Amino acid sequence: MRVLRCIAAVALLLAAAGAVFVYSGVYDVSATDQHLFPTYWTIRATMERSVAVRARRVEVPPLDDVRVRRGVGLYREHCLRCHGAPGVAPEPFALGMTPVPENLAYVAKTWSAAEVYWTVRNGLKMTAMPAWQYRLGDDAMWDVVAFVKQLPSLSPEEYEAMRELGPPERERQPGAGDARRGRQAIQQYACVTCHAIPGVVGSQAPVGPSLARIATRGFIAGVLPNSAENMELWLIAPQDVKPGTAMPDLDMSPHDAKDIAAYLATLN
Amino acid sequence: MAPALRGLIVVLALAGCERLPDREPLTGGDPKHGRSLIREFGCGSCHRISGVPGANASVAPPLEKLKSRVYLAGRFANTPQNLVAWIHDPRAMDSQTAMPAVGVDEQQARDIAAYLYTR
Repeated sequence: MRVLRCIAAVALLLAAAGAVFVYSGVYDVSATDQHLFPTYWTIRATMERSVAVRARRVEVPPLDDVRVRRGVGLYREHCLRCHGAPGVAPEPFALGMTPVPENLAYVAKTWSAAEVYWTVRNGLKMTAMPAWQYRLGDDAMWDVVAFVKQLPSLSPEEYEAMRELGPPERERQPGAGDARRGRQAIQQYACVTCHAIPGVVGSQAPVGPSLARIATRGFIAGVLPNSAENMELWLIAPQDVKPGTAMPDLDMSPHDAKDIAAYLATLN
Repeated sequence: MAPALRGLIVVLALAGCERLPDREPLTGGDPKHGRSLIREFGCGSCHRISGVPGANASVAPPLEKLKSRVYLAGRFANTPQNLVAWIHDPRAMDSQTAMPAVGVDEQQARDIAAYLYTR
Protein backbone atom coordinates (compact mmCIF):
# COMPACT_ATOMS: atom_id res chain seq x y z
CA MET A 1 0.00 0.00 0.00
CA ARG A 2 2.81 2.40 0.95
CA VAL A 3 4.66 1.52 -2.24
CA LEU A 4 1.56 2.25 -4.33
CA ARG A 5 1.09 5.58 -2.59
CA CYS A 6 4.72 6.41 -3.20
CA ILE A 7 4.41 5.58 -6.93
CA ALA A 8 1.26 7.66 -7.18
CA ALA A 9 2.99 10.62 -5.49
CA VAL A 10 5.94 10.42 -7.87
CA ALA A 11 3.64 10.15 -10.89
CA LEU A 12 1.68 13.18 -9.70
CA LEU A 13 4.89 15.15 -9.18
CA LEU A 14 6.12 14.24 -12.67
CA ALA A 15 2.79 15.25 -14.21
CA ALA A 16 2.93 18.58 -12.33
CA ALA A 17 6.52 19.17 -13.47
CA GLY A 18 5.46 18.34 -17.04
CA ALA A 19 2.59 20.81 -16.85
CA VAL A 20 4.90 23.55 -15.54
CA PHE A 21 7.38 22.78 -18.33
CA VAL A 22 4.66 23.03 -20.99
CA TYR A 23 2.73 26.05 -19.73
CA SER A 24 5.66 28.17 -18.53
CA GLY A 25 6.89 28.43 -22.14
CA VAL A 26 10.43 27.80 -20.90
CA TYR A 27 11.28 25.44 -23.79
CA ASP A 28 12.69 27.34 -26.77
CA VAL A 29 11.15 26.04 -30.01
CA SER A 30 13.10 28.41 -32.28
CA ALA A 31 15.04 26.78 -35.11
CA THR A 32 18.13 28.77 -34.11
CA ASP A 33 18.29 27.18 -30.67
CA GLN A 34 20.32 24.03 -31.20
CA HIS A 35 19.55 20.82 -29.32
CA LEU A 36 21.66 19.82 -26.33
CA PHE A 37 23.88 16.94 -27.34
CA PRO A 38 21.99 14.32 -25.25
CA THR A 39 18.68 15.52 -26.75
CA TYR A 40 20.13 15.35 -30.25
CA TRP A 41 21.57 11.90 -29.69
CA THR A 42 18.29 10.56 -28.26
CA ILE A 43 16.20 11.92 -31.12
CA ARG A 44 18.69 10.70 -33.70
CA ALA A 45 18.97 7.19 -32.25
CA THR A 46 15.18 6.94 -31.87
CA MET A 47 14.73 7.91 -35.50
CA GLU A 48 17.40 5.55 -36.83
CA ARG A 49 16.08 2.59 -34.84
CA SER A 50 12.49 3.37 -35.83
CA VAL A 51 13.43 3.41 -39.52
CA ALA A 52 15.66 0.31 -39.30
CA VAL A 53 12.97 -1.79 -37.61
CA ARG A 54 10.24 -0.74 -40.01
CA ALA A 55 12.42 -1.12 -43.11
CA ARG A 56 12.98 -4.81 -42.38
CA ARG A 57 9.72 -5.68 -44.10
CA VAL A 58 10.56 -3.71 -47.26
CA GLU A 59 11.41 -5.77 -50.36
CA VAL A 60 13.94 -4.09 -52.60
CA PRO A 61 13.46 -4.36 -56.40
CA PRO A 62 16.48 -4.36 -58.76
CA LEU A 63 17.88 -0.81 -58.77
CA ASP A 64 19.12 -0.76 -62.35
CA ASP A 65 20.51 2.03 -64.48
CA VAL A 66 17.10 2.97 -65.93
CA ARG A 67 15.86 3.62 -62.41
CA VAL A 68 18.93 5.72 -61.62
CA ARG A 69 18.41 7.87 -64.73
CA ARG A 70 14.72 8.33 -64.02
CA GLY A 71 15.61 9.00 -60.39
CA VAL A 72 17.99 11.87 -61.11
CA GLY A 73 15.17 13.87 -62.73
CA LEU A 74 12.85 13.24 -59.79
CA TYR A 75 15.66 14.09 -57.38
CA ARG A 76 16.34 17.42 -59.10
CA GLU A 77 12.64 18.24 -59.04
CA HIS A 78 11.77 17.19 -55.48
CA CYS A 79 14.86 16.65 -53.28
CA LEU A 80 17.60 19.00 -54.48
CA ARG A 81 16.29 22.19 -52.89
CA CYS A 82 16.59 20.81 -49.36
CA HIS A 83 19.32 18.18 -49.64
CA GLY A 84 21.63 19.62 -52.29
CA ALA A 85 23.69 17.33 -54.58
CA PRO A 86 27.38 16.80 -55.36
CA GLY A 87 28.74 20.33 -55.77
CA VAL A 88 25.29 21.93 -55.29
CA ALA A 89 24.24 23.58 -52.01
CA PRO A 90 20.69 23.39 -50.71
CA GLU A 91 18.53 26.51 -51.16
CA PRO A 92 18.94 29.17 -48.45
CA PHE A 93 15.57 28.37 -46.81
CA ALA A 94 16.66 24.77 -46.25
CA LEU A 95 19.76 25.90 -44.40
CA GLY A 96 17.51 27.61 -41.85
CA MET A 97 15.82 24.38 -40.81
CA THR A 98 16.33 22.48 -37.58
CA PRO A 99 17.11 19.64 -38.06
CA VAL A 100 19.01 20.72 -41.17
CA PRO A 101 18.35 18.35 -44.12
CA GLU A 102 20.95 15.58 -44.36
CA ASN A 103 23.70 15.29 -46.94
CA LEU A 104 22.33 12.25 -48.77
CA ALA A 105 25.68 11.12 -50.14
CA TYR A 106 26.57 10.24 -46.58
CA VAL A 107 23.15 8.77 -45.79
CA ALA A 108 23.43 6.58 -48.88
CA LYS A 109 26.71 5.14 -47.61
CA THR A 110 25.33 4.23 -44.19
CA TRP A 111 21.67 3.41 -44.83
CA SER A 112 20.31 0.44 -46.77
CA ALA A 113 18.13 0.96 -49.85
CA ALA A 114 15.15 -0.34 -47.85
CA GLU A 115 15.74 2.28 -45.16
CA VAL A 116 16.06 5.11 -47.68
CA TYR A 117 12.89 3.90 -49.40
CA TRP A 118 10.97 3.68 -46.13
CA THR A 119 11.98 7.25 -45.25
CA VAL A 120 11.07 8.62 -48.69
CA ARG A 121 7.75 6.81 -48.56
CA ASN A 122 6.71 7.71 -45.02
CA GLY A 123 8.58 10.91 -44.21
CA LEU A 124 9.89 11.78 -40.76
CA LYS A 125 7.72 13.35 -38.11
CA MET A 126 9.05 16.58 -36.50
CA THR A 127 11.52 17.10 -39.32
CA ALA A 128 10.67 18.82 -42.59
CA MET A 129 10.90 15.48 -44.45
CA PRO A 130 7.51 14.88 -46.10
CA ALA A 131 5.94 11.51 -46.89
CA TRP A 132 6.11 11.06 -50.65
CA GLN A 133 3.69 8.15 -51.02
CA TYR A 134 0.80 10.52 -51.80
CA ARG A 135 2.88 12.55 -54.25
CA LEU A 136 4.87 9.91 -56.12
CA GLY A 137 4.00 6.39 -57.20
CA ASP A 138 5.86 3.40 -55.81
CA ASP A 139 8.03 3.05 -58.91
CA ALA A 140 9.00 6.70 -58.83
CA MET A 141 10.01 6.42 -55.17
CA TRP A 142 12.26 3.45 -55.98
CA ASP A 143 13.76 5.49 -58.85
CA VAL A 144 14.71 8.17 -56.34
CA VAL A 145 16.21 5.55 -54.02
CA ALA A 146 18.21 4.06 -56.91
CA PHE A 147 19.67 7.48 -57.64
CA VAL A 148 20.34 8.34 -53.97
CA LYS A 149 22.25 5.07 -53.53
CA GLN A 150 24.52 6.20 -56.43
CA LEU A 151 25.27 9.59 -54.84
CA PRO A 152 28.46 8.58 -52.97
CA SER A 153 30.09 7.44 -56.22
CA LEU A 154 29.29 10.61 -58.20
CA SER A 155 31.73 13.49 -58.63
CA PRO A 156 30.19 16.98 -59.04
CA GLU A 157 31.07 16.84 -62.74
CA GLU A 158 29.49 13.43 -63.25
CA TYR A 159 26.35 14.55 -61.42
CA GLU A 160 26.13 17.71 -63.53
CA ALA A 161 26.46 15.68 -66.74
CA MET A 162 23.80 13.09 -65.83
CA ARG A 163 20.95 12.95 -68.33
CA GLU A 164 17.42 12.38 -67.16
CA LEU A 165 14.77 9.94 -68.30
CA GLY A 166 11.15 11.07 -68.00
CA PRO A 167 9.29 9.92 -64.87
CA PRO A 168 6.86 7.02 -65.15
CA GLU A 169 3.10 7.60 -65.02
CA ARG A 170 1.53 7.80 -61.59
CA GLU A 171 -0.20 4.47 -61.04
CA ARG A 172 -3.97 4.38 -60.58
CA GLN A 173 -5.83 1.72 -58.67
CA PRO A 174 -9.42 0.74 -59.41
CA GLY A 175 -11.90 -0.74 -56.91
CA ALA A 176 -13.79 0.44 -53.85
CA GLY A 177 -12.48 3.13 -51.51
CA ASP A 178 -10.43 2.15 -48.47
CA ALA A 179 -11.55 4.23 -45.48
CA ARG A 180 -8.47 3.42 -43.38
CA ARG A 181 -6.12 4.56 -46.09
CA GLY A 182 -8.41 7.53 -46.63
CA ARG A 183 -7.91 8.69 -43.06
CA GLN A 184 -4.15 8.66 -43.57
CA ALA A 185 -4.56 10.44 -46.90
CA ILE A 186 -6.63 13.16 -45.17
CA GLN A 187 -3.70 13.86 -42.92
CA GLN A 188 -1.33 13.79 -45.89
CA TYR A 189 -3.33 16.33 -47.90
CA ALA A 190 -3.30 18.58 -44.81
CA CYS A 191 -7.12 18.75 -44.74
CA VAL A 192 -6.99 19.45 -40.97
CA THR A 193 -5.28 22.79 -41.49
CA CYS A 194 -8.71 24.05 -42.63
CA HIS A 195 -11.34 21.57 -41.35
CA ALA A 196 -12.12 19.94 -38.02
CA ILE A 197 -12.31 16.21 -38.84
CA PRO A 198 -13.25 13.62 -36.23
CA GLY A 199 -10.58 10.91 -36.01
CA VAL A 200 -7.79 13.08 -37.43
CA VAL A 201 -5.51 14.98 -35.04
CA GLY A 202 -4.47 18.42 -36.20
CA SER A 203 -4.94 22.15 -35.80
CA GLN A 204 -8.63 21.78 -36.76
CA ALA A 205 -8.75 25.45 -37.70
CA PRO A 206 -12.22 26.70 -38.66
CA VAL A 207 -11.12 27.93 -42.08
CA GLY A 208 -13.71 25.72 -43.73
CA PRO A 209 -16.67 24.02 -42.05
CA SER A 210 -16.28 21.16 -39.60
CA LEU A 211 -16.60 17.76 -41.29
CA ALA A 212 -18.23 16.18 -38.25
CA ARG A 213 -21.19 14.10 -39.47
CA ILE A 214 -20.37 15.06 -43.06
CA ALA A 215 -21.96 11.80 -44.24
CA THR A 216 -25.36 13.06 -43.08
CA ARG A 217 -24.94 16.46 -44.78
CA GLY A 218 -27.39 17.21 -47.60
CA PHE A 219 -25.01 19.18 -49.76
CA ILE A 220 -21.29 19.37 -50.47
CA ALA A 221 -19.95 22.93 -50.50
CA GLY A 222 -23.54 24.13 -50.60
CA VAL A 223 -23.81 23.26 -54.28
CA LEU A 224 -23.60 19.48 -54.90
CA PRO A 225 -25.98 16.85 -53.54
CA ASN A 226 -23.98 14.68 -51.14
CA SER A 227 -23.02 11.32 -52.71
CA ALA A 228 -19.83 9.28 -52.93
CA GLU A 229 -19.28 10.19 -56.60
CA ASN A 230 -19.92 13.88 -55.99
CA MET A 231 -17.54 13.90 -53.02
CA GLU A 232 -14.78 12.44 -55.23
CA LEU A 233 -15.56 14.99 -57.94
CA TRP A 234 -15.40 17.82 -55.38
CA LEU A 235 -12.12 16.59 -53.88
CA ILE A 236 -10.42 16.22 -57.26
CA ALA A 237 -11.60 19.47 -58.84
CA PRO A 238 -13.22 21.88 -56.36
CA GLN A 239 -12.57 24.88 -58.61
CA ASP A 240 -14.49 23.25 -61.47
CA VAL A 241 -17.44 22.40 -59.23
CA LYS A 242 -17.60 25.81 -57.57
CA PRO A 243 -15.43 28.43 -59.31
CA GLY A 244 -14.00 30.89 -56.82
CA THR A 245 -14.24 28.59 -53.81
CA ALA A 246 -11.61 28.98 -51.11
CA MET A 247 -11.12 25.20 -51.25
CA PRO A 248 -7.94 24.73 -53.29
CA ASP A 249 -7.15 22.19 -55.97
CA LEU A 250 -4.80 19.80 -54.14
CA ASP A 251 -3.72 17.85 -57.20
CA MET A 252 -5.41 14.86 -55.61
CA SER A 253 -5.24 11.52 -57.42
CA PRO A 254 -8.58 9.76 -58.12
CA HIS A 255 -7.33 6.87 -55.98
CA ASP A 256 -6.76 9.11 -52.95
CA ALA A 257 -10.05 10.94 -53.54
CA LYS A 258 -11.93 7.62 -53.52
CA ASP A 259 -10.30 6.57 -50.24
CA ILE A 260 -10.86 9.95 -48.59
CA ALA A 261 -14.52 9.93 -49.68
CA ALA A 262 -14.79 6.43 -48.16
CA TYR A 263 -13.48 7.74 -44.84
CA LEU A 264 -15.76 10.79 -44.87
CA ALA A 265 -18.71 8.45 -45.52
CA THR A 266 -18.04 6.85 -42.12
CA LEU A 267 -18.56 10.18 -40.31
CA ASN A 268 -22.24 10.01 -39.46
CA MET B 1 -30.12 10.09 -24.83
CA ALA B 2 -33.52 10.38 -26.46
CA PRO B 3 -33.92 13.47 -28.68
CA ALA B 4 -36.95 14.57 -26.64
CA LEU B 5 -34.97 14.43 -23.42
CA ARG B 6 -32.08 16.28 -25.02
CA GLY B 7 -34.53 18.91 -26.29
CA LEU B 8 -35.97 19.30 -22.80
CA ILE B 9 -32.51 19.83 -21.34
CA VAL B 10 -31.75 22.46 -23.98
CA VAL B 11 -35.02 24.27 -23.20
CA LEU B 12 -34.29 24.17 -19.47
CA ALA B 13 -30.77 25.39 -20.06
CA LEU B 14 -32.14 28.22 -22.16
CA ALA B 15 -34.67 29.23 -19.55
CA GLY B 16 -32.07 28.99 -16.82
CA CYS B 17 -28.77 30.41 -17.89
CA GLU B 18 -28.65 31.65 -21.47
CA ARG B 19 -27.83 35.38 -21.21
CA LEU B 20 -27.68 37.18 -24.51
CA PRO B 21 -26.43 40.75 -24.77
CA ASP B 22 -28.86 43.43 -26.03
CA ARG B 23 -26.46 44.37 -28.78
CA GLU B 24 -23.77 42.31 -30.48
CA PRO B 25 -20.81 44.67 -31.17
CA LEU B 26 -19.63 43.35 -34.57
CA THR B 27 -22.97 43.46 -36.34
CA GLY B 28 -24.78 46.04 -34.23
CA GLY B 29 -27.75 43.65 -34.23
CA ASP B 30 -30.00 42.34 -31.45
CA PRO B 31 -29.16 38.69 -30.77
CA LYS B 32 -32.35 37.95 -28.80
CA HIS B 33 -34.50 39.11 -31.65
CA GLY B 34 -32.18 37.23 -34.00
CA ARG B 35 -32.82 33.99 -32.14
CA SER B 36 -36.58 34.28 -32.49
CA LEU B 37 -36.18 35.19 -36.17
CA ILE B 38 -34.10 32.04 -36.69
CA ARG B 39 -37.03 29.99 -35.42
CA GLU B 40 -39.51 32.00 -37.45
CA PHE B 41 -37.64 31.58 -40.73
CA GLY B 42 -36.93 27.91 -40.09
CA CYS B 43 -33.14 28.11 -40.42
CA GLY B 44 -33.00 25.00 -38.25
CA SER B 45 -34.57 22.86 -40.96
CA CYS B 46 -31.16 22.87 -42.68
CA HIS B 47 -28.62 23.98 -40.05
CA ARG B 48 -27.70 22.88 -36.55
CA ILE B 49 -27.70 26.02 -34.37
CA SER B 50 -26.95 25.79 -30.68
CA GLY B 51 -29.47 27.45 -28.37
CA VAL B 52 -32.31 27.10 -30.88
CA PRO B 53 -34.57 24.18 -29.97
CA GLY B 54 -35.15 21.85 -32.90
CA ALA B 55 -32.35 23.36 -35.02
CA ASN B 56 -30.63 20.03 -35.51
CA ALA B 57 -30.69 19.38 -39.24
CA SER B 58 -27.68 18.40 -41.26
CA VAL B 59 -28.57 19.50 -44.78
CA ALA B 60 -26.06 22.34 -44.52
CA PRO B 61 -23.08 22.83 -42.19
CA PRO B 62 -23.58 23.44 -38.46
CA LEU B 63 -23.33 27.11 -37.47
CA GLU B 64 -21.35 26.57 -34.28
CA LYS B 65 -18.50 28.99 -33.57
CA LEU B 66 -19.33 30.93 -36.70
CA LYS B 67 -17.43 33.95 -35.39
CA SER B 68 -14.09 32.14 -35.60
CA ARG B 69 -14.77 30.77 -39.10
CA VAL B 70 -12.47 32.21 -41.79
CA TYR B 71 -14.78 31.93 -44.80
CA LEU B 72 -18.52 32.16 -45.37
CA ALA B 73 -20.13 29.82 -47.88
CA GLY B 74 -16.64 28.65 -48.82
CA ARG B 75 -16.08 31.85 -50.80
CA PHE B 76 -16.33 35.08 -48.84
CA ALA B 77 -14.28 36.49 -46.00
CA ASN B 78 -16.17 36.18 -42.73
CA THR B 79 -17.01 39.83 -42.08
CA PRO B 80 -20.20 41.11 -40.44
CA GLN B 81 -21.16 42.89 -43.69
CA ASN B 82 -20.74 39.70 -45.74
CA LEU B 83 -22.67 37.61 -43.23
CA VAL B 84 -25.59 40.05 -43.15
CA ALA B 85 -25.64 40.30 -46.96
CA TRP B 86 -25.46 36.49 -47.26
CA ILE B 87 -28.39 35.87 -44.91
CA HIS B 88 -30.39 38.60 -46.62
CA ASP B 89 -29.91 37.26 -50.16
CA PRO B 90 -27.51 34.33 -50.62
CA ARG B 91 -28.40 33.82 -54.27
CA ALA B 92 -27.31 37.36 -55.08
CA MET B 93 -23.83 36.50 -53.83
CA ASP B 94 -23.59 32.97 -55.22
CA SER B 95 -26.01 31.81 -57.89
CA GLN B 96 -24.91 28.17 -57.39
CA THR B 97 -25.74 27.87 -53.71
CA ALA B 98 -28.39 25.54 -52.36
CA MET B 99 -29.22 28.13 -49.68
CA PRO B 100 -32.49 29.82 -50.56
CA ALA B 101 -33.43 33.48 -50.04
CA VAL B 102 -36.15 33.12 -47.42
CA GLY B 103 -37.25 36.75 -47.37
CA VAL B 104 -35.14 38.05 -44.50
CA ASP B 105 -34.81 41.83 -44.74
CA GLU B 106 -31.54 43.56 -43.94
CA GLN B 107 -32.34 44.56 -40.36
CA GLN B 108 -33.56 41.03 -39.62
CA ALA B 109 -30.41 39.61 -41.23
CA ARG B 110 -28.35 41.86 -38.95
CA ASP B 111 -30.14 40.49 -35.86
CA ILE B 112 -29.73 36.87 -37.03
CA ALA B 113 -26.03 37.49 -37.72
CA ALA B 114 -25.76 39.03 -34.25
CA TYR B 115 -27.15 35.84 -32.68
CA LEU B 116 -24.89 33.57 -34.75
CA TYR B 117 -21.83 35.59 -33.68
CA THR B 118 -22.69 34.88 -30.03
CA ARG B 119 -22.42 31.11 -30.65
